Amino acid sequence: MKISEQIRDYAKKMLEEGEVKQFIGFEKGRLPFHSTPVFITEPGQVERLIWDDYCITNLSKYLVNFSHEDGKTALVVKGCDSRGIVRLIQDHQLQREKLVLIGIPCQGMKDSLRFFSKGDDSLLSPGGKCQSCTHPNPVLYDILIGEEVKSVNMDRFKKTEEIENLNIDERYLYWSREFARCIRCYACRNVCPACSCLSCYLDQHRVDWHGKDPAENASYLLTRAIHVAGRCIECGECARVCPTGVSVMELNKKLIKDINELFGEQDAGVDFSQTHPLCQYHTDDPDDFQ
Amino acid sequence: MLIKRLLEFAGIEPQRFLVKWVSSSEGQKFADTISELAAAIKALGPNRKYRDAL
Repeated sequence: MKISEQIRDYAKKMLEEGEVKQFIGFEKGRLPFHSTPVFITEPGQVERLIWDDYCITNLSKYLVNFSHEDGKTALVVKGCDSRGIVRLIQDHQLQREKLVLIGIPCQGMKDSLRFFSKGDDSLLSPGGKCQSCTHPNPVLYDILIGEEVKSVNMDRFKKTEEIENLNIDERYLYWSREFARCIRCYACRNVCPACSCLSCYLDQHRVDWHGKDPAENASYLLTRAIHVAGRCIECGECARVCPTGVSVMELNKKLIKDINELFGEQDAGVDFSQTHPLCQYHTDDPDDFQ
Repeated sequence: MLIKRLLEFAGIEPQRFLVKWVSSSEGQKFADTISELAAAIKALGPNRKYRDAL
């Protein structure tokens, strides 16, 4: 049976039996080569649910909106969605018992935005978010549909190292051009499963922590990266949703690479027993500030 | 440490940023630390990176 049909069957059963209040999955978008998240609350609507090569969105962030409501939510999860959920549960933003997760191993998704702008429809499009995926299989699920897939072993820090190897002026030139394109729409913040504060310092206009002057783009993007350091699950949604194509993910990758170097190799949102690398102390931690 | 590395990654001179553990009883250490930092920054000159709108 096709994956889409299995999703519909599970959704119909869960909604009819009242096990869940809503089912979050994907439906065909208005444009070809495009699938969009859908929220199903009636059993009669399950025919809208699909599963294809364009289900690229990380759905985990939506759950934060429903965490204080009664009733369960069912959700279709790929590797990256499940890591986002683990991370949000670890941050006490979600309750596991209010979720029903349908895991689907993912071989990489096609990006409709890249398709329309560059004609690129490959599953692991170069520079696309799935290219450096380390966990294509869901790490947390109740029901698994499909066969587990092997992770594509690509060097996920290749571009980070390329930037590191530039000299200081070249690095400044590279990043000043990147930061200059930022229009401060905050899409990268809104989509991020690690950015889960309901009240963000950027929205506190009265306190005026942070202005919207273009000269402050650098401090915005660097601060955002630091705020999610150690919690970034590398889903790459921030870079995917950026309307001006700022390489936001490279800042996250740099921090992940540094945390791995300084505090040992670790992947956020994979294992419940693993605590946040920046929230623990070991006597052998590097301490060059002493 | 992470911020220092990130600033360096973004093209800012790492000498401009310092985190140091100084106790309130270590007045001389504090004065020396700040003098060294001020001298290092003076040698670099004013920072205009990311200050002017591009």
